[in-house]
Amino acid sequence: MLRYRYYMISRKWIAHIILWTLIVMWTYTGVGKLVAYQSFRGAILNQPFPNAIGAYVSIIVPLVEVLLAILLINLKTRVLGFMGSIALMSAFTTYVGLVWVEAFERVPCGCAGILEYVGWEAHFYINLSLLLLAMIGLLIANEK
Amino acid sequence: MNTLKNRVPLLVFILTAFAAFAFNMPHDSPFQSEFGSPDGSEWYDVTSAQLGQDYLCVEDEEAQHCTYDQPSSTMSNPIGDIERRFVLLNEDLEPIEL
Repeated sequence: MLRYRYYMISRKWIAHIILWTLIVMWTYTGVGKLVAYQSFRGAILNQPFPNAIGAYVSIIVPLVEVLLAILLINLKTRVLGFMGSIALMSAFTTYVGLVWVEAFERVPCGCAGILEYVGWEAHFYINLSLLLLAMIGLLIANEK
Repeated sequence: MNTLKNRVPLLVFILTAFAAFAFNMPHDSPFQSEFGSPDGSEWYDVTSAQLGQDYLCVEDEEAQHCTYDQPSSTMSNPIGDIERRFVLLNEDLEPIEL
């Protein structure tokens, strides 16, 4: 009985920590990109996909990130927030992985933000960890 | 107590948004010039140019920088990280006369 109680308390705290981690991540990256929009837009246009796509990506990505943070705040939309986090982080992780293995004709520089300091390989593993956290968060939220 | 507990995610969001504003305000000096060269001999003023449209900075194995604050790789300060190569995209950009 006591072990079960500890399990339930631990699970609750794990759920809180995952939730706050994702909210911090989406809020910081989304708002940060909007605040330093020109710099972010330049970094996106520097990526190895057509500029026409890049122009839309540079607007849509930060707005979606902020939206995901808002969905995670609200208890009623939290499951949707976790699902959206998994979808977006899967896309990011896939792209970073492809750049890391040099699947494109060139490897772009980060030119802004965290990539300048950690490189593509570390960024891939960071994204993968956050993806796993989002999946665990969704599992716990669904159980509730 | 439960109401306060339910407000914690919102508080986290607000604090993080403030931090994002504080740490991401554009701080580039409007007076800093920026120059790049694909081959070290012809230099282009990219101060007003758009990264990704007029030029690219590509990862490279050589110990060089993409852009510098003067049209020289030896007599200037590099801008950005090392192991980057300048690639000109916009052919309409005129090389500067040294």
